[in-house]
Amino acid sequence: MNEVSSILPRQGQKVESGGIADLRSLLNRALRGKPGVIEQVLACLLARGHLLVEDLPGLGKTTLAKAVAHGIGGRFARVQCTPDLLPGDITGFSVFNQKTREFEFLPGPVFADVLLADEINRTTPRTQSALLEAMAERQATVDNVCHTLAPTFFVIATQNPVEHHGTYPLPEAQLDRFAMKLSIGYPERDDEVELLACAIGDLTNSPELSQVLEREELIGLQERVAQIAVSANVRTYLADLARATRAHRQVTLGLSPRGLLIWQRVAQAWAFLKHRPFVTPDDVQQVALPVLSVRLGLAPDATGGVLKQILESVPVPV
Amino acid sequence: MAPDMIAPDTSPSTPPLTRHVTLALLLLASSATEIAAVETRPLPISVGLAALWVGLAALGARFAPTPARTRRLPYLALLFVVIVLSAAPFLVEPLRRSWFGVGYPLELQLVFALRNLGLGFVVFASWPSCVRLAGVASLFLMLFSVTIAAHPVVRIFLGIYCALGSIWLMLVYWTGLRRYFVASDATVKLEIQGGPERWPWLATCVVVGAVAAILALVAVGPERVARIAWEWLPTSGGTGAFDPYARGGVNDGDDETKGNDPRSTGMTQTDMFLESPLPSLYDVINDLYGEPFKPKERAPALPLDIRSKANESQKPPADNLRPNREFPTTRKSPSAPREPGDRKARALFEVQGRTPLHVRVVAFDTFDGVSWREAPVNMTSCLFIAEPVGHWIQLRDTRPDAIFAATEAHQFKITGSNGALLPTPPHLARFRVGRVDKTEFFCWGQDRIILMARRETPTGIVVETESQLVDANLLICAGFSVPREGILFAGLPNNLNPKIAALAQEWADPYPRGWPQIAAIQERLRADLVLDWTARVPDDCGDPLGHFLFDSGRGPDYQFATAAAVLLRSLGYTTRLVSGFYVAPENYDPQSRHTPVVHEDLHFWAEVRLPSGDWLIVEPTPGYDVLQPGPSIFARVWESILDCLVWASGHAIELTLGLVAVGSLLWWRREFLEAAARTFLRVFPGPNWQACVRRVLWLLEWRGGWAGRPRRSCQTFPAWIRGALAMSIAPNSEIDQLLLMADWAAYANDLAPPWSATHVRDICGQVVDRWPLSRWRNETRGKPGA
Repeated sequence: MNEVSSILPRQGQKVESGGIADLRSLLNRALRGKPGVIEQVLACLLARGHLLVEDLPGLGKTTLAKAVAHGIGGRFARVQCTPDLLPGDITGFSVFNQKTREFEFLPGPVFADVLLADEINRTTPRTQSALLEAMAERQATVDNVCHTLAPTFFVIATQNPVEHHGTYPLPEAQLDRFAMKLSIGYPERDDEVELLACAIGDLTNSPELSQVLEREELIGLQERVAQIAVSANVRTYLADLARATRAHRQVTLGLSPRGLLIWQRVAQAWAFLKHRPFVTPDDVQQVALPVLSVRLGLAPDATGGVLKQILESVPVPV
Repeated sequence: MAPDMIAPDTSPSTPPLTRHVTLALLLLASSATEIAAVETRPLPISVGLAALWVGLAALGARFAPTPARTRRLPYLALLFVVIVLSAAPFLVEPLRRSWFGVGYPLELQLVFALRNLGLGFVVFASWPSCVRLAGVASLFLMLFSVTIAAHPVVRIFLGIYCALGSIWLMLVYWTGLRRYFVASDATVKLEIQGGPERWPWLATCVVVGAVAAILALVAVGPERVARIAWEWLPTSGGTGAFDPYARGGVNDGDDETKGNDPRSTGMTQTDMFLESPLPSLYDVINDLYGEPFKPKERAPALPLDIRSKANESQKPPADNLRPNREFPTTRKSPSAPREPGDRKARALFEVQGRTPLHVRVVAFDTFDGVSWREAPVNMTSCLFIAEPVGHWIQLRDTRPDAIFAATEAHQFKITGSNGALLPTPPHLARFRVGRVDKTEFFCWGQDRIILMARRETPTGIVVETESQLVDANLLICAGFSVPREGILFAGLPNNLNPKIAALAQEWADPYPRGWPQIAAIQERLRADLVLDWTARVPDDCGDPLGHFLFDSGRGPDYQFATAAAVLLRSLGYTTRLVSGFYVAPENYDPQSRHTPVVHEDLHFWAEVRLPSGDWLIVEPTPGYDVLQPGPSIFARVWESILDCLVWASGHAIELTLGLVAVGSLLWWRREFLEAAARTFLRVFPGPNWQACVRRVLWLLEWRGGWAGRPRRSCQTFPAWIRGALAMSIAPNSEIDQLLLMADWAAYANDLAPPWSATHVRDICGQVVDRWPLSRWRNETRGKPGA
């Protein structure tokens, strides 16, 4: 029998004392009134996935990314994606060192711990694809030399859903590398009032951010998440859901096996955040929307209820 | 396994044209079936009926749900509707038989079930599979109709059906193809890595069954199979079983009469029944009523009847005036008195239809005080007219009476020799003997008594009749003319006891002339005198009628009939005495659904002549009745309700107890079931803590369903219960803990649970006790659905 305590303490104890709880608190301070979004960001982080945030300008996408970067204490890099951005601007490039008479590799932003790719759909597919290898395999190959990225490499990409002029929609291959797509949405009225109150006297309008989690600590948490148990019936349930996405009439591109693996990992992270050493179908369902919305191709006539239909069409194991 | 390349399920539902053509096919097939079912029915009615059913199906199709995914099978609920439709003919048939007295044979019920099945499929024609099934049903209906119907219109329908069927096949094929055509911009191929292919069990079973059936057929031989199949068909033929609603078949009595089947014996074609050694009716009369005797004369000899004397002197007496053609009313007691169960004789004929019924055999005209003489033959104003279709022979009066209420159908199956008599009910409108459609085959005996001309009535034939029933209310308006002096059926004995005429006057005086007077005489005789089969007049009695009326007050039925006839004649009504058979309802044989008529059913009654020349039965004998018009459908329903009420009142205690028990069981069914489930949980909590939790969750699922909050299949137990109860779950309460346990039990694999098995059982017990159905109802009331 597995030792539960090695993965997760008993009910009632705080697993992430000084860790996840502090990070959660930090993020909630940075992005007010969005605890649900914060939970999903945390799940994505613990699942070692990458995050695509799609929302209108000014809703806190960049703030959120910076807060995550500061919270986990890693190196933060930001790339403002534009049409003239080149792949080398992301991965880095080799320059000739006059002193040593050798080419020297100058690492690009992908070598940071948290990379914010702002308005990713404004850059060309060529540059977008530079991120493919980095996101999937956590390495970058420049001039036939493979460079390993940071183990906590975490991409937060943002895109604007309303402006389409001069944009390059992310290809499916790129989308499938993201674990989740989130939409932050407008804050509630009370939260906005509080936001205004906090901004009085603050010159920069940016909350104080401090490191709350060591990198090693995060890696440890990610390892524990990977050990969260997924019983056979839940695995079957996940597989059935994947098949249901492929069979649905209004879904033109179903869930890939890579997407299925990510779904399971995110569900594990979700269970971890709920202090549970195993995954339930509820975890699977609760993370289904952000996980599936980034990677399912929907028919032009698809309505908003497709994901709900898929979830309702598969009976849960009880 | 190789990946399976499929197109997304964008298949359209059945196009309207295909549905319309399917409807047209079913209309044709249903019309043909209706025609085949009752070929004698007018064509427009058959087609109209079929159109009605198909129209209802078309109407239903407008409201039928459309499928989300046509490739899937229809919803199970819809299949249930179709099955109910197909079972409907079998459910309706007993009601039809009991209420209307008509019915369809089993094979037609099966065909109607198939018709309903086809119509049901048409209702759900949005599913292509249903359209195909409807088409197959229509094809079978058409084949059936063509096989059994001889109506020429069915052939025409078949031609149209074939033409339309070709179009239907093309449309269905095209519909099938359309499922694989999707717009090029929407074409996406998905790789579906299926699991291991399932073995096609259904197809395997069908193939194995077919092979086994062929082997069995070869092994036992086709003849035996045919015989077994024959046993399944309820005909009135060679199986020995008899179904009055069955269609005709080989060895069926009807077909024997028609002689249209070479395998039938064709009794009407032979003369083997012409000579019959059986005793005559008069021998039977002597057996039943006793030997006649001549009374000892105390008074001077009676003056001779001048008329008969004149006849006697001028020429040989007419057939009816011969000495052996009379019925003396002075008789000894019968040697074997009548007993209700003493009916051993073979039936002379069997009657199908409503009873009681009077079947005339001999009519008597002259009464000399002691004996009745037969009436002369062939003196009727009624004509035989052969109908152009249907082989019916109609009886037409010059001035028909307006006293009839309804028409009644009977069938007389001749089973024994009865001379040339063709048994028919009174007020006959028309009759049919197989396919004998020539009036020359029949002749009149005495008035309104039909005989076969120049031959005896063959055994085995069936006489179908339609007669009219007298409405007692209309009789009051009927006129009964005063007979002219000297005509038949009006003469009184010269030595008639004056007290008899006085008695008639006394009984009839309070009433106006006509039916009220006749009814008064009839009722007084029935009420005041006693039927006694063994009563006899004294040997020296010269006035048996007077003795019966004034002295003994008891006698057999001929005395009642004689009294009625003489009393009515003395009042000036044209009256005759009739002997014949009384088809009593008590003799009905429920097994064969016939009423057999034997010699013991011989009976005497009186008849009064109506203005048209027809004769109206006067039944003065107590215990004997005249067939009245049947009750209407509402009256029958009311009568059955009353019967039910009577039965219920006789079993009031048992019924009340049963109803209370059933009602309580139904009303508190959930409570009963819950109590049973709780008891079960207490006795069998489960082999381990996971099973215990699971069983309690099942109980909660029941309760939630009964409280109107069923769990959907996509919900886990915790999600469902938290959604249904919303804020009612206190943290760390027993149900909160149970939900945690539920997750552990279902999804935690072999992780060590953070609680002991005893604790789990305690919590389960608390939840079972603290969350009964009533609490579920209270907690979920007014809350939005989960």
